[in-house]
Amino acid sequence: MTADVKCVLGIDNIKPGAVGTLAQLPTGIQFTTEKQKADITTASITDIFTGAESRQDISGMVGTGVKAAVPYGGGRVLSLFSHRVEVLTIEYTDANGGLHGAIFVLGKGKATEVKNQLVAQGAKTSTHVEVPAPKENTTPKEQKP
Amino acid sequence: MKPLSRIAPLSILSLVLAGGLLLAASLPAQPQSDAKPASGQKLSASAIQVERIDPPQDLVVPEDFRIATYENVIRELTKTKKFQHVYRSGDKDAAGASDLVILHLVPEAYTAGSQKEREVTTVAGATSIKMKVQFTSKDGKVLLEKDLEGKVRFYGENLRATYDLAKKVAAAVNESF
Repeated sequence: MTADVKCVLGIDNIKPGAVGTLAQLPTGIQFTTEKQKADITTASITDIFTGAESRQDISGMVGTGVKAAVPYGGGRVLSLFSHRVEVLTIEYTDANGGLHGAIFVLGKGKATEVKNQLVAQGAKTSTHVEVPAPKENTTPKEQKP
Repeated sequence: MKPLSRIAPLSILSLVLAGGLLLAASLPAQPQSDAKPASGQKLSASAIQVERIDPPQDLVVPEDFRIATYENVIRELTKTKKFQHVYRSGDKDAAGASDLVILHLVPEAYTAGSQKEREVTTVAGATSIKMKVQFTSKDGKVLLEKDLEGKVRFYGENLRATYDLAKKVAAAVNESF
């Protein structure tokens, strides 16, 4: 079981941005918040992706307000503090065949762990093009076809 | 009048102007005016199906961006209440819908930004995703097509660009359906 997991979006009865726990079941995973729970079965999974990102230590509406309230632009210094996270993206289908995609943000190393366990259970996954993690101090490059 | 009190109104005015400019820049860009179909008549459909997003082979779009765009577009289309049904890609029930419109989202460009860079510098680090948004009939006839861009410029996580794009897709639907 992994605590403090953020479900960014993609699960029907879970509010986007909800924080809860992600538990491994013998036949998939279960995301549980204080009020709701939702399952994704291994059989319904069509693909799994993991990626690394960084998240601000002070974020959200309150954090942004705090940063803005610091005089002389001092709030920007608070934006320098961040931590690494892993993003777990799961593509799955519902009973009608409709495609869904769920995105979870977990602690470093946890997403790969969950992915490996799902793959061991028989979840489908394809080979992906590795997207380099965003670098914090380099000029972003635009990719055009 | 002291020199300081003569300067004060000018300073206040410049501050107000700067604030107004910043506010205007932070507002999401309005959808382009070419959202309406060429005939000028509004389109009508009782159901829409959002197809899965597959970027061209030479364009790398992170999977979470692709999925977040797909999910956000479905959420925003549902919120418009323009359609009785919003079907997902692969939904078997969509085949039975009589006047179905199919929405194709084709990624055209992606700029990877950085939340830290945005918040520290306020001028760099913007994340953006540009897509060709195409509404077609069941038989593949293009009903409406436009290029839309989702951006996050100042505050917010990178994935917020997909939400911005989805809002623009919904605005285009509100304008044309």
